[in-house]
Amino acid sequence: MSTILAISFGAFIGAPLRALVEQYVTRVRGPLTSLLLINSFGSLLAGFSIGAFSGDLRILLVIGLAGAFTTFSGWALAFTIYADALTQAGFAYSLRFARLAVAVIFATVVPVLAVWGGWLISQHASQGY
Amino acid sequence: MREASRLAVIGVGGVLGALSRAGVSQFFDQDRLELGDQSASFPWATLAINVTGAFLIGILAVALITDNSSYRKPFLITGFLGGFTTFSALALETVDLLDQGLWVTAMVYLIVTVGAGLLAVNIGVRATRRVVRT
Repeated sequence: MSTILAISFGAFIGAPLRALVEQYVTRVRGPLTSLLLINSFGSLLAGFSIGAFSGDLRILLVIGLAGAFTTFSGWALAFTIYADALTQAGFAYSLRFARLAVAVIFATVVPVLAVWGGWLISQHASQGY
Repeated sequence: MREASRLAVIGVGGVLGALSRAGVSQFFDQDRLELGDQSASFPWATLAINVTGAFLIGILAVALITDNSSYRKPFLITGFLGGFTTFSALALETVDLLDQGLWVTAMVYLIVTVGAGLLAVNIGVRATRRVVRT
């Protein structure tokens, strides 16, 4: 029961927060930057929380908040729209593929590094105590 | 006020999505909460969640393309599917596999998730366009 409450509470904050960040950053920097920022920050939080907290608080932050704040479906949809836009802009196939590949790899690797970074920060922070 | 209720709708959708995600993870016995958990196996649960969610968002993005007046898009797309699918778990599980020295498995996990996810969105979009047009 407490697990369900912890996940619900985290997700009830995480999903609307993503909507707000997405709305603002998409307007000034575009959808791909917006999702890169959201997924990287959420992954940083998840990596940090795994190293720093335990029990229900960890479940709230990792599965609820970071889990609902970050998104894979919106990410994949944004790249599909981006690929369509490149096609309509008349880029040659090879150039289209290269641009898309670079963007996808970047948007995948940075969140992975962010988890690692978050975890390292938590380990470094806990050494002081 | 309308913005507040839109965010609340996204919140409720996000809660239902996150609980569904937790349910699937538990069903696969893969609610991973430790880095360096040596018993950790291939993260099938998150893979299934993310690829299914990507397929559904492809369908809904086309089906609801002209639907701007209601709360369906915020609830289903931003809320439920956004909360159901996750990038942080994908990243966590990749680091977990790397931490165990399973480099090949980690790379396969990333590439399969990204490849199948992008393919799933495309299949969802194309299939729905075909249905909506005719």
